[in-house]
Amino acid sequence: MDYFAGLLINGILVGAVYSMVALGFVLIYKASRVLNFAQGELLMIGAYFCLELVVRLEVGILSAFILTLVLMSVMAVLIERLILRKMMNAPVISVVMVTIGLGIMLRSVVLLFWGPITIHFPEFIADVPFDLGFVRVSVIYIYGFLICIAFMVIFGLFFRYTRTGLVMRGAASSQMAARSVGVPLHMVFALAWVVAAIVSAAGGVITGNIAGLTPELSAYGVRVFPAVILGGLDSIVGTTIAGVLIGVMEELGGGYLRDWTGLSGLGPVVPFFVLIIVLWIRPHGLMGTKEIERL
Amino acid sequence: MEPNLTDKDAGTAAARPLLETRLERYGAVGLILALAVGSMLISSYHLSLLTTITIFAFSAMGLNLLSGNAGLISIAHAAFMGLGAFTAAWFAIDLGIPILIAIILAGIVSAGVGLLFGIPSLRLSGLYLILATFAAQIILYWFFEQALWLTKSPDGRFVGIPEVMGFEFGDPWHYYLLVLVFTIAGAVVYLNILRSGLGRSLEVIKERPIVSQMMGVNLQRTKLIAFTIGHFYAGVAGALYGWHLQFVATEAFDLMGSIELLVMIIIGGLGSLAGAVLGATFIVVVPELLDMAGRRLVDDMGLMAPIRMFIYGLLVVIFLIYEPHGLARTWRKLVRYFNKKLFKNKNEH
Repeated sequence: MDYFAGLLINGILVGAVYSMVALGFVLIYKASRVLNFAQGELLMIGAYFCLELVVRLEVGILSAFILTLVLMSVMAVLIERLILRKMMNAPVISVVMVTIGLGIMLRSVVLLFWGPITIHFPEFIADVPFDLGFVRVSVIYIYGFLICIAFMVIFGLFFRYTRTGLVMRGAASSQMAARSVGVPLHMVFALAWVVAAIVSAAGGVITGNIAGLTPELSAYGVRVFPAVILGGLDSIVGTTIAGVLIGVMEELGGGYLRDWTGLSGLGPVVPFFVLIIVLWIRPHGLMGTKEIERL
Repeated sequence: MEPNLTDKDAGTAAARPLLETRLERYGAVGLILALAVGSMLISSYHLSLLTTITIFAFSAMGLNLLSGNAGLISIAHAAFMGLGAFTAAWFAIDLGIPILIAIILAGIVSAGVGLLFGIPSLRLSGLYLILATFAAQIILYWFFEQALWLTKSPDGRFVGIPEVMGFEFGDPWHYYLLVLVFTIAGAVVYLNILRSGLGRSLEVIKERPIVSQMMGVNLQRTKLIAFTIGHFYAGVAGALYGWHLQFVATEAFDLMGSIELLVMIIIGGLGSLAGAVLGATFIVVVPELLDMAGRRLVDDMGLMAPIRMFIYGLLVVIFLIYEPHGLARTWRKLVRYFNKKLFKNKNEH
């Protein structure tokens, strides 16, 4: 029972990061119908920015975190302006490949400046286990979880109650209509990239603090795909729930299926089986729009 | 609607003969002879590169049919090559089936599994298929690391020197000729598909799926055929690649491998044979050139890999923005330019 509870709690905590990163992915998809394969690389580079600020420039962690988000926003605007705007009318394959190319470039930058080694953040919070009553969890996980929740609530409120949020929702629901009432679509796309970069960087800093920094962090971008499909490609709420579900599945899959099947490394693969099954039987996911054409 | 990036001049539009003019006929024969004879004269290192290019050109044809012509984007082509490589080795070595049959069987297995992952695309638009094939890549790669009855070790397996009907392909040049025969056969099939009804069906299901059904093209069936053929190419190419290196390395079939294949057909040119060949050449040769330049310019070899990676990513982005039609279009423009110069009043088309 404790084993189960431990895996479950871990899954939820890891899943919260997935949810947050998936939020960025879905946002870009909704705004501009672009599948962003560089999402994981944004997460990775954000974490390294923060590390650089903290270690090399000796900025306090909180200001470093905020500075990172600012830097990432600038980078997101540049990416949108210099690359994706030129791909506005390009076919799907080109847009996907351009984000992959971008991801390769970002990864090479990290390898060039930091190398393929694991670097650890200096410890900010004493890593004491936190007793939840039935299971003990590392306190960093708890902080990470709370930060994820905070970010998602902030962006939820932003989309719900601000004018800009309304404009973005409008553009997502119909680009044509939004444009005809004077919505500057470029601004919307850029903003979507900014938000995606911010949530990714936040996710990167959190996971970096937990497990250390390696270029492998970019794999998070990949792990988000099952969450995105399970939740529904264009549903933010669905993806948030699915992110947690996928996190739990990964942990339980890694924990139990190994004992049952004798196969190792199953944890990270289980969500992709789920992805395939979801696409077979319910391609719009838990809460996505049912835009299935009989093609 | 999205603009069409497929080369309209590539030969899908009109059902003209494969080699129409005398120039084309002589050119094709000359090229094949040059490859067959020239490959005997070059160093073993360059021969190995040439074999790799030829195998990847073969594989890229399959991907180009699937993604370039039919618009079904797959980001798992390398994994299917791996599946072909491992199953061919299993058939030939563990079951003792003759190698040529094993290679074909590997293609069939690859096609069957490809079909399985392609099912979602029957009802869905392309974006979902990309994610489905992505999952295929992850699952297959994991399978290679786990299924030791097939792969012998998580890193891969040795396959030794191939032997066909008592003849040992110990000389790399002989093996190159075998690969060349496969690739020429593949190219002929590919070109014939493009100029047949099937080729035009593929084009129309990509461009106008609804119109295609109105015109009586069976959308589901056409997609399934594209999946079968595309992954068959991948499986056969993988088998050939395994015997080329005499070691099937799991690592060669990872996500980066699949991305490289996509980059090949994009840089080469979507939907044409020239695109597949030029793309494969480009992707194999350019890293070699970069390495050569790097050895002169960069002292620290540890820095070389990331720099190469950066240039690679940059090339992809630049190509997509500035030359989305790929090298095949550039090539055709050049040919047309010289045609005009040389034969002013003949060949007006």
